[in-house]
Amino acid sequence: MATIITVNEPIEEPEPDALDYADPLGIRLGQAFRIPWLRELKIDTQVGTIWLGFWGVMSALLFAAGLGVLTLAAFDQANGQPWIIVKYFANLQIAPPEGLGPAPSLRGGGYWQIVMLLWAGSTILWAVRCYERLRRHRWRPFLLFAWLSAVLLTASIWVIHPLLVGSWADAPALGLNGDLDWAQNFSVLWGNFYYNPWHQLAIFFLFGSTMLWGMHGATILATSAEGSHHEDAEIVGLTSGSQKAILFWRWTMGFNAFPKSIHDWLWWFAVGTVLASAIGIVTTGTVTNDWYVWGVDHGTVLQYGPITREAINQHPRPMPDMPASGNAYEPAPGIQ
Amino acid sequence: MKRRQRVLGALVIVVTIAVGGVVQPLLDRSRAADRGTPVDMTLAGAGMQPLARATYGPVDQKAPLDFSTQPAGVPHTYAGGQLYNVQALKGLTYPQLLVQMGYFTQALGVQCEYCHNTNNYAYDTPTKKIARTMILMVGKINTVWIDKVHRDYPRFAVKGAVGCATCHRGAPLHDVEWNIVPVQYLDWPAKSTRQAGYVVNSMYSVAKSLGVNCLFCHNTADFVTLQYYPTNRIAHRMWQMVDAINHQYTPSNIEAITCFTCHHGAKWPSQLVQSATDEAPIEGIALHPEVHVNPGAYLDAGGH
Amino acid sequence: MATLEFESAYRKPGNTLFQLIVGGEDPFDFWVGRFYVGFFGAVAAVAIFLGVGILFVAVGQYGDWDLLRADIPPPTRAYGLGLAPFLQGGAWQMVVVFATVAFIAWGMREVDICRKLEMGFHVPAMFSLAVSAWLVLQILRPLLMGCWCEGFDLSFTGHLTWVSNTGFRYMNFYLNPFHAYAVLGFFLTAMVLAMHGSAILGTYKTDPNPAVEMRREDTFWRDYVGYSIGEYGIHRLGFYLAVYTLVMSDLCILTSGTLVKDWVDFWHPF
Repeated sequence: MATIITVNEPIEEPEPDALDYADPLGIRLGQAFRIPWLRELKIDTQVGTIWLGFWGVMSALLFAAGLGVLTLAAFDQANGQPWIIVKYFANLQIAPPEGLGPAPSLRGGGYWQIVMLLWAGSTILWAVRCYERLRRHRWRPFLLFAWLSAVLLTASIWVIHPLLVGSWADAPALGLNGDLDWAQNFSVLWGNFYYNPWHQLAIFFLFGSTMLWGMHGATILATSAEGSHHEDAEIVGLTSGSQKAILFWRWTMGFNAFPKSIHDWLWWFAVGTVLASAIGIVTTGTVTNDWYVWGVDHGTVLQYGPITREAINQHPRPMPDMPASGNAYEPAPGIQ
Repeated sequence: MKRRQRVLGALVIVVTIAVGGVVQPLLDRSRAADRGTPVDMTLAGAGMQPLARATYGPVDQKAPLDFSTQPAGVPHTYAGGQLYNVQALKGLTYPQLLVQMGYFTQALGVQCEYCHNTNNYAYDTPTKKIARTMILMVGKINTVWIDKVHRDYPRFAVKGAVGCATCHRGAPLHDVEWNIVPVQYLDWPAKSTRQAGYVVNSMYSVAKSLGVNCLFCHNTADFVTLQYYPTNRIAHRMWQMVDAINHQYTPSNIEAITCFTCHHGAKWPSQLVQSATDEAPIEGIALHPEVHVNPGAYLDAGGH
Repeated sequence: MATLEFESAYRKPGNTLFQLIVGGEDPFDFWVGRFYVGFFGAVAAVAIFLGVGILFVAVGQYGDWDLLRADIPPPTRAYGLGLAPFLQGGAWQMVVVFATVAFIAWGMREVDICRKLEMGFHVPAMFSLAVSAWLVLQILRPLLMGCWCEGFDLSFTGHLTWVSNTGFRYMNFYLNPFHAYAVLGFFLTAMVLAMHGSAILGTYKTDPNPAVEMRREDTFWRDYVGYSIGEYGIHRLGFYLAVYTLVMSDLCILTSGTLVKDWVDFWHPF
């Protein structure tokens, strides 16, 4: 198999560049080394070095600070007992405050806001690191746009949507079960997210991404004996491996991509996932507050039963049989 | 593959199985009432105030006799065979009353002195006063709430009426398994996803209390606007009932009742009063053979 | 017509599964335009035609021509594992049969094409895993649960309602550990896909020497995250991530309703 995985060759080190010198924290950390048995897994054996860089270090510091606050909050919740933290780890969570202002107390949402600020900063700084390294290595900025799209989705969920609907408490809590609960509760509250067309599109792209990885990964692995995995070379000139890959799909489904264009497909499906999700989140609570009713109104969903439309407009909704006003209960006789 | 890699691979598999199969089940990720985190999982943490509850004052059977607080005409000693100070159970003869008392002791798993001052059974103790309101409550449950449900949804009716044992099940304090959010807080749309989360947690408690899943009442295409099954509407009434009971009858120093209190994991409660011989083996206070209890026997004058 | 300039050298007769299994020459060993037919292609074409045909007949019979909303439901519980009349679930059963035949035939056809092109069988292997998800959902799990009613509706939004109801039937499907592993797999797949796409799109044709481009890829990844998996390794990673995700998905639905009926209670310690 024509795969070049080096084992005994010397470590590859990039030559420093003007951009590398300009960075105050511009060092490549430590010494790169080889893990020879990775060759059995047919992946690259060299590990390291990692570029520190000013932005990366700042980003890591902010991330670590956020982790520190999380740990503090965990001990606060567990009343200082470490075994409780281990035992209930999945249940520990830091929940956001109600409303849009600063939290009334640390436990009442303060921790959440602090960690959010720290990690938002960390995420933005990581994007700057991405941009800086891409320029240094003279890549086109596709990775940056992919990262920013993911950041846009995260911002939509944690910041933009809560701002639009007027409550931080619409964002997920920080915690394992807290996040999982949010996924379910968010969908229950906003009328079942399966009927949100942007969510449908996002799922299409998500499953499509996995399908494309299956297709592209399998195709390359199947033809790698003839060097189809040297994709940069194949883009310039097709060899027999890529020709077989192209023909396989052409004969199977009638059309095919090429060594360069398949990566367009890959990139747009992956980024499409997060972009469509972001739009789906932002349109929730603004375009509609109940996606099932939206679907019925727009002819995409069957109407399964009578829809109590007042339910989604009234706040609070009166219970059936309850008098619309006044106290439903009269005090029982004989009670002091 | 070299021998070292085989050993490493086997080690990885063993560790994964150990972590997954042995350690993980020991970690408690349950969602029961004891979530383990005091913060933010309580109503207070959500900024909601607990519902005002009925207050009876502390229950102290050993309080010294204070005749100044007794109703007029109550003798200081028990005059054998003569009934004094009977209010909620008016109209029963002495043997009938004793049978009734026998049911109480069985249903609550207590003895006479739990409610009575055994020197003077007519004496009013705090538990006796609570018992009176409980009797009123049972009558009200059966006539105001359950009867209505059975009339409107006859398919869901079951023979029998609620009695003491339905909730107490042989203990003075009822079983608390799940927490639910009072109905005042069940408004849609909820103020936020987090508020919705409290309701969803409550819903889980309701489902487990009845031994069903979400589809028993809901079509999950839309929880908010689809009142799909009659069970959904029945549940509304039941929730109002639970809330009214907690608001008016259950003492504030004990846990509120929940769906589980009566249903105990089944769609219909067991330990129902099935016939006249169960609870009121007396002519004139015959239990209706169908469902509802004859209100006249159990309610105080001026009741429902 | 639609042949690429290098294609004619690869269009060779013979080397088909039909020859291997049955012995005689494959009667469908030819191309129609750019499509390869083969015996299994003919089977697939017939199954697709019949299946889609029945689908549209059923849609017409049910009356709702809004294809986003049109719904072909499985039989009700009363029919168990038996056959149902056309409008009470029989249409669903017929379409599922034809779809299954079509999927399997398509996979075998891919194997045929791999044999002709003398390449590895990774693609049909992957496709078979995807088909296994369909088989688990529509055939295996209904068999295990004892009734065809357990399959999902053939409908664009109807199958989503099925997913929603099935999820809540087991109280909180997010707590299904296999589901969580599968979701992790999906998200990792999307992330790694974006990374690989960005890598190639970021470096292709930026230098006349492709080896320099590859080195630039490696050095960027080492700077950025400390490791570069290599151009062969990334395809391995993507392939096995997809495999992992599909296996977890199969497990998550196989265990629901059969082994576990309440995923919240699943975590309650014994």
